[in-house]
Amino acid sequence: DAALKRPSARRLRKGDIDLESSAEEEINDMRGRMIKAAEADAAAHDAGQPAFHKIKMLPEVTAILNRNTHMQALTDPDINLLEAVRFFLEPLNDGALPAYNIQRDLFAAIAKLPINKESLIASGIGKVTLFYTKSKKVEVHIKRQAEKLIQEWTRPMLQKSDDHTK
Amino acid sequence: DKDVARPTRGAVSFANADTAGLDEAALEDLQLAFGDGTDYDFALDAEM
Repeated sequence: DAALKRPSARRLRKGDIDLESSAEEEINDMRGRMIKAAEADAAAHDAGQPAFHKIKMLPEVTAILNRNTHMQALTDPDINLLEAVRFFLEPLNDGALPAYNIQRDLFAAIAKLPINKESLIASGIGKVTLFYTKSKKVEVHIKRQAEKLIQEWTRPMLQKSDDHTK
Repeated sequence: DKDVARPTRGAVSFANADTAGLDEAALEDLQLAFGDGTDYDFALDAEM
C-alpha cells in the first residue's frame, strides 16, 4: 500500500538518474534481484550444487519483459535491465549454458522489445546473443532466433552514412 | 605502427552482414554493441 502511494519527493538514485516512477523502481529492483540470482547460480554451479535461482525467477522476469507498458524503461540503458538478462543468458565459467527454458523464454521476450544501439552497448546483450549463434550446444531454433536478433539489431547500424540516396 | 591497434575492419562477421563501406564510427559502434566475437571464447573452447 505504501508503494502505491509513494510521495514524489521519495526518489531512488542510481548514478545520476532519478528513478521517479514506480515502474522504473520495479524494473530496477528486478535488475538487482536478477544479478543476485545469476551470481548465486554461478557460485552453486562452481560448488557442484544445483543452481535454481534463475529458473525460479524466470516467470517473474518474463512477466515483466512481456508487458506492453513501460517498454522504453525495459530497454533504458541507464536502468539497464537488459544487462541482467545478459547475466541470465551467459555461459558459466566451464561453458555450461543456462536451462533451456531460460534461453527460450528470454530470447522470445527480448525479441519483442525496442532494443537500440544504446541499449546494446550498455547491456552487452548483443555479445551474448552473438555467442548463441556460434555455440554448438545451442538448440537449433534458439540459434536461429539469435541469428534473427543479430540481423534485426545490426540492420539500423549498417546504414551507410554516405549512402542515403540509394 | 599507428594503425596496428585499430580493430580489424570488417573482420567480425555479424550474421554475414556487409560491413564494407561503413565509416569508423559505425564500425566502432558495432564492436561496442556486439564485441569482437571473442568475448565468450572460453565457453566455445570448453565445447571442444
